[in-house]
Amino acid sequence: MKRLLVVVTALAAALLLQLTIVNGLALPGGGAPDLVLLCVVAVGLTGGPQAGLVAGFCAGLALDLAPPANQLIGQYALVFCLVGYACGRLRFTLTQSAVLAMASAAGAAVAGEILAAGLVLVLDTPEVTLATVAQVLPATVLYDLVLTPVFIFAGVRIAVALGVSFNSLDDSPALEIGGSAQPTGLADLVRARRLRRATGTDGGVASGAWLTGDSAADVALVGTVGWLDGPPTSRRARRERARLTAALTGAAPRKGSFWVGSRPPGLRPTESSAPAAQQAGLRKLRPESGVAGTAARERMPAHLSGSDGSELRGAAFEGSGSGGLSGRGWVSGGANTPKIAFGTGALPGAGRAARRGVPKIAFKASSPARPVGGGEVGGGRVGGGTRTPKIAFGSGGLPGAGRASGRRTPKIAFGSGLPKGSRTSPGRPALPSFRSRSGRSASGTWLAGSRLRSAGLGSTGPRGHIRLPGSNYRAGGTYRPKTPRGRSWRRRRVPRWLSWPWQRGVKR
Amino acid sequence: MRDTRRTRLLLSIALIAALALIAVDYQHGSSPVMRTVKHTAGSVFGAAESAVSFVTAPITRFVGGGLAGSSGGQVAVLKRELAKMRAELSAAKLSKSDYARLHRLLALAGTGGYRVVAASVIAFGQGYQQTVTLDAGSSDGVRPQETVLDGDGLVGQVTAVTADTCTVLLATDPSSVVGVRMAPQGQVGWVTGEGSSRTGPGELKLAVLDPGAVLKPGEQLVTAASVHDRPFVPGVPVGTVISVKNKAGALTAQALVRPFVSFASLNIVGIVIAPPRHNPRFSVLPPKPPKPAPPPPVKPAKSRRTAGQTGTTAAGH
Repeated sequence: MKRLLVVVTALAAALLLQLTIVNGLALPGGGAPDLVLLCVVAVGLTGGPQAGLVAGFCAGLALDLAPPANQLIGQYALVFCLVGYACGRLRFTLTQSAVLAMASAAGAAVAGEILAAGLVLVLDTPEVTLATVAQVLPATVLYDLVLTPVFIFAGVRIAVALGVSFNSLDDSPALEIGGSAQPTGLADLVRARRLRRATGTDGGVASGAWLTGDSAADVALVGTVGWLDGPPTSRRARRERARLTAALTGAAPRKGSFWVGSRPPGLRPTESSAPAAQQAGLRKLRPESGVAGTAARERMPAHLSGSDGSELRGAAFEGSGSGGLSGRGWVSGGANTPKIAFGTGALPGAGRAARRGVPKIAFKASSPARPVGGGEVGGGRVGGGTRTPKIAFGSGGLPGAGRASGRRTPKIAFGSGLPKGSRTSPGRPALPSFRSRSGRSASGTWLAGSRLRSAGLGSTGPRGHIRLPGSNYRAGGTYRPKTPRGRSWRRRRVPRWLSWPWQRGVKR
Repeated sequence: MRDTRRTRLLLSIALIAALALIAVDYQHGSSPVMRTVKHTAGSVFGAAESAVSFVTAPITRFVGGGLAGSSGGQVAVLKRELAKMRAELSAAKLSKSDYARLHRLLALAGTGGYRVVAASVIAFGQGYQQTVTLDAGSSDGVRPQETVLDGDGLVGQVTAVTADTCTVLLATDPSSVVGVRMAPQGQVGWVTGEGSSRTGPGELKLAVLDPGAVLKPGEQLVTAASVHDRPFVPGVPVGTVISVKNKAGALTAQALVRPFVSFASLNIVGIVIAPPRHNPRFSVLPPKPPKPAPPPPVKPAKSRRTAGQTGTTAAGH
C-alpha cells in the first residue's frame, strides 16, 4: 500500500511537472526530457515487470488524457507499458552492476522515446514528418540520458527505504518457475534440471552461486551502490553504502544468511566461525534467504564439500532438508566428536550428530558456538543422522529440532524443541502428523527461508503452519499431534519434557 | 516480482487495451463517450495543472519569460481595463514582464476591436505536439474554435474547453492551418506550422494561392477571416516573410514566415470571445521596418509595435 502510494505520487508529480514546467522550457536543441518516461523506467527497474507494466500503462494513459494532449488516447499508454515491462525484466541488472543497470535503464528510455516518435509518425497527422522528429529526437534522448542516473538512483534509494527486496533470485530468468514446496514428481525433476542448467552448476538443487554471501568479496563482485557520490569518506557513509549494497545485492547484512543447496566447488565459507550461531532458536532466523521450492525437495542428493575437503553426500540431507543448509555451521561430519559438547552447532537442530560422531551429551547445542560436531544442519532435522546425543540440553529451536530426525532421539532432552516449549524431542515416531505434513515445510523451508512467504508457507498455507515472525510463531494445527493423547497433553500444559515417555509409546 | 504467466497476461491485456483505445479514438474521436472521457479527464488534470502552475509560475517565468520589452507609451484609457483584467487573471500576482505583456495584449485587442479574455498558460503539450493549456474555460465564456492571440500576434485556436481550462492548438503545430492575407496587396494564402525544431518552435510555411505572386522578405501577414469568424477572426498579425522558395511549376507560391509571437516564451494570452465589428484589415500590424532586411525576431518588433499602436489608437479615439 505504501509502495503504491509512493509510486502514484511520484508519477503524478512527474506528469504535472512535465506538463507545467518542463515542456515549457525552451531548452537548446528543441527537445525536453520526458520525466514520466524516466519515472516509469525507475519504477520498472525497482519494482519488477508487473509494477512497471501497470505503472507505465496508467502513467501513459494519464499523459494521453491530461489537457494539452492532442494525440490519440492510448499512444503513450502503449509505449510506456512496454517500457515498464522491459525495465521490470531488466531488474536483475540492478544486482549485477551499477553500470549495467544504468545502461539498461538508458536503453529502455531511448527505446521508449524512439517508440513514441514512431507512433507519432504513424498515427498522428501526416504533417509530422521524419525530418521534424529527427530534429527534436536527439536532444530529447540526450536529456533523458542525462537524467536517467538521477531517477534510477532516487528510485533505488526510495525502494530500499520502502523495504523492497532486491534479491536477484527474484528476477533471475531461471527462477521463472515459481517456487513450490511441494514436490510434484516429474515436474519437480524438470524444475531441478532447469535450475541446474540455468545456474551452470551440476551439483545440488540450487547452486550456492546464486546467493551472495556476506563477505566483502561478494559485494565487490556485484558492485556498490554509491556510484553517484564517490568513495565513502565517513564511517557513516560507508555503513550506509554497505547497507544499500547489501539490500541491492540481496546479500543480507545479517548473520543468518545461508547457502542453499550445494556450495559451489572450491568456494569456502569466508568465516568458519559461525555468526549465524548467535541466533538461538528461531528468534533471529530471517525468512528471507534461500530458494523456495528447493528446501522441500525430497531426497535430492546434495553434494557438499566439507571444510576439510571431504565430501558429504546423500544421506545427510535426505528428506526435506536439502535446501536448508547453513553455510556457517558447516561441518565436515568429522569423526572427531567430543563426548560432551557445549554449545555446539550453529543452527537450530544443531547439536545433533551429523554423520557419525555424536557428542554423548550436548549442552545448548543451538547456542552461539563453534560449529563443532553437529553443526551442520539439514533443515532442522538431519535425515541421515543415525546417532543422536544421549542427552541433549536445549538443543534446537526449530520444530523438529532437537530431536533426531532419523529413528533415534536423545534419550533425555531438555529444553529442546519449540521455543515455547512444546515438547522435548519426542522424535519423529511420536509425531506422525508432523512428519507427514509440517515436518517438511517446517524444517526445510524454515531454514531455506527465503521465499517462505512468497511460497505461501508463511502463515496459512496448506503445508506450512508456522506463523511468522520470529519467536512468536506457534505451530499450527498440523503441528500438534493429532492423537487425542497429544491434544490432551497440550491442554493440560504438562511440562514438555514430561510428555516424552507418553509420546514415546506411540509407534509409527 | 518475477516474470510469471500472470505478468505476461497482464502485459497482453495492457497492450490490447492501449491498441483498442487508439483505434477507438482514431475512429470515434468525436463520439459523445470519448468526448465525455476527455472532458472529465481534462477537468481533473486541468485543475491539478492550474494548482501546480500557480505554485511554479514564478519559476517558469524566471526561466522562460525574460524577453519582455519595455512598455513605451501607455494609453490611459486602457489602464482601467488593464487593472480589471489583472484582477481577473488567476495568478493574481503579476510580475513586471507580465504586466507589460498584458498591456501589449490589451493594446493589440483595442486596436483591432477584439473582445478578449485574458488567460495564462498553465501547461504545455508533450512530445511533438504544439499545444498549450490555458487557465480560462467555459465558465469564462471561452468556446471551442476561438482565436487566441497575445500582444504580438496570433497564437492559435482553441480546440477543447473544460469548465476552467481550455486547450489551444498553436499556429506552429503541423496540423494547424491558418488562412492569411499578405499585407499590401491582400493576396490570400495559408500558413501551416512546422512543428518544433532544433531551435524551439520554428517558422511557419506560407503558401499563396496565386502562383505568380511576387513574395518578398519583410512582407507581413494577417489572418484572413474564417467563416463566421471561427476559428480565426480577421486582422490578427501572423508574421513576416523571411525567405521565399518559389518552385517552378508549383501551384502555390511558397515562403517561410517568422511568426510575431515568440512561442518559446508564451505566457499571457487573450482569447477572442467576440469578433470585431469591422475588419481591421492591416491596421493592427506593426509598421514595416524601414529596411527590407528581415527584422531580428522579437525585441525590435515589439518596441516598434508599441509605438504604432499608440498612434493608431490615438487616431481611433
